[in-house]
Amino acid sequence: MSAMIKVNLDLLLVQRKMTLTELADEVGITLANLSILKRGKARAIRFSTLAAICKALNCEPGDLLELDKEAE
Amino acid sequence: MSVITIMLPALLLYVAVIVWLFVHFKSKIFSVRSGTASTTDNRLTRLVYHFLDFFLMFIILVLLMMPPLLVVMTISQFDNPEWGIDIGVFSNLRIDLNEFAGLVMEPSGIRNPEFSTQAVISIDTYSLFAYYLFALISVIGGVVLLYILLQLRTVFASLLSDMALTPENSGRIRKIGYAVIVWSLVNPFLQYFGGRAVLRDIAFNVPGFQLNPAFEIPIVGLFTGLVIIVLSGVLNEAARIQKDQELTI
Repeated sequence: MSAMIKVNLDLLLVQRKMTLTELADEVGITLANLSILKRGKARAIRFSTLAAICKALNCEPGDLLELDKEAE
Repeated sequence: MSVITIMLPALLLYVAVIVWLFVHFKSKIFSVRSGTASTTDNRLTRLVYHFLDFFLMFIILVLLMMPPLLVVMTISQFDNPEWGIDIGVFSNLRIDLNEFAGLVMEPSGIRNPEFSTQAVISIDTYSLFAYYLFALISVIGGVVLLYILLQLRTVFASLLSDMALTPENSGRIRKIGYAVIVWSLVNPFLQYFGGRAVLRDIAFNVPGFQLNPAFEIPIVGLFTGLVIIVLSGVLNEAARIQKDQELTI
């Protein structure tokens, strides 16, 4: 159900040469929560969190989230 | 065997149990645990939790001690011709004063001097069968109560550790609801058939005086059980929302 939306955090972090800890510090959310997001276990994401992550990674929400058509 | 030789050890055992209960639970009841930040709500929860703890232990001990005490009482009192025990039988009682002709003056203010009631009638019987039958019914009731208390205690323990909104807790509350419904359905039958057995055992042949076992559909009990089950559903929904909330980043 929640696997329908894929979070491309791994890819973006590699491209930006950032670690998860650095991102967590910059965005201001806990590492545990960011880890939940990265592993695709999150059920929802707040607009404020999404905006903060996009700002930190200098990307668009569409770069971060992707519809996983195979999971259907 | 004299009464003293049997009753004295039983009495000593009883006193020992009460002392043990007091020593074991004194610290939990009379002191507030330090170390955790205790809000007012938390303190109330803790108090109820310890009360449940105490009550649970008390019921376990009563259930454990009841069979030997029943035997001891029977042995010690068996030879006594005046021995009898009070049991409460849920019955329909009907008294027809018309049958007491000559005994009763004409009562004024009532059209028909007939009285009826549905109540727990206390009967002093020497029937060991009745004695053990009603003891068995109370033991079954005690076991159901014990089950409910065990579930409730776990719910309160989870409330103390701030883990109350879980599907497990919802399941426990649902089990309590089922137990209440099952007991509400079983108890009237036990009371009815127990009462019937006892009232048949005691020959009852006074004209104008009718004593029959009563049966009552336990609407309040059934309704309470249903309400508890519905509440467990509400808690389940709350647990789901809590999980959603936890997994919202």
